[in-house]
Amino acid sequence: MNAREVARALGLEAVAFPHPEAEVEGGFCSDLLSRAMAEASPGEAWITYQRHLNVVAVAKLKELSMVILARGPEPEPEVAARAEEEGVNLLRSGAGMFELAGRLYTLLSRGPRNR
Amino acid sequence: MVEDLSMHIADLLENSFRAGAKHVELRLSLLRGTLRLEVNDDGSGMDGDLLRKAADPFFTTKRHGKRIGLGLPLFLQTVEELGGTLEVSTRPGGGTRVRAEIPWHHPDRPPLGDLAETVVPIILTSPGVEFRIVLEGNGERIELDTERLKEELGISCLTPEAMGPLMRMVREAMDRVGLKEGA
Repeated sequence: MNAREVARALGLEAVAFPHPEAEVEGGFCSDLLSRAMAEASPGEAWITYQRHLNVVAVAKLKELSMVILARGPEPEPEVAARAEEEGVNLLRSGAGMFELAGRLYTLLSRGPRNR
Repeated sequence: MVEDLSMHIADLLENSFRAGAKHVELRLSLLRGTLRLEVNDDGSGMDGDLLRKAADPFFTTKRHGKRIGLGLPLFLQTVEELGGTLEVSTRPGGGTRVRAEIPWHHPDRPPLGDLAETVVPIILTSPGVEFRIVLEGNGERIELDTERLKEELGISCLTPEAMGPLMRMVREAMDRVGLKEGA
């Protein structure tokens, strides 16, 4: 399932969406950037409440398929602009992290490989 | 935010080595509810342009790997989120001083972590670099100096055998100044 399909299924709003075809291979939840750097795997979608520019840098470093910003304020315009420039998919939702994680887990479990 | 503050200390020390520092000083003090964390080095320092770029996570002086440099940006984020302050004083050829003040009792403050486990392996794997650790708190001030330590022991360099004693010294010092957590 690619990022565009995940975004549609979860009703996510695009903040920066330079690579909608990126394959989403799993999910990861954390607000600790050090934990994301240590444990997130390439292709995963990262769900977080964090909105700092460093999130974009970590997502790029770890080659994540998308970052989903859980319920909260809009990120600063600079964060959106840098995500676009650096090729990082950044989307937001009005749902909390718990709900997003549950819905993403269910969605990915229904993927072709898991049928 | 990162898991513990000692990860930031390791990043700052790595920046000092990358700048070619031969003397590095780490100061930690806990006074009136504020943690002051300072790293001073005699490395190559930075000009104004480099200093501005140092806060950008997409900038690094590393020549290999991905062009991401998160050391200082992550530390800045942690300090800002805790309502603290961060100052970087530097000049080309004149070394760098990074000084942060962090409210110790902020509910979101990451734990300090195991400073001994972070710093001692760095000391032992950095031949040619002299370290000074200054810890303050509880009305005490403790200095650990690798130059003086080697003189006292009559040796020219610290070997891996020094790992255990050095870790004990740092942990005891942390305990005495009130910086040991979770004990």
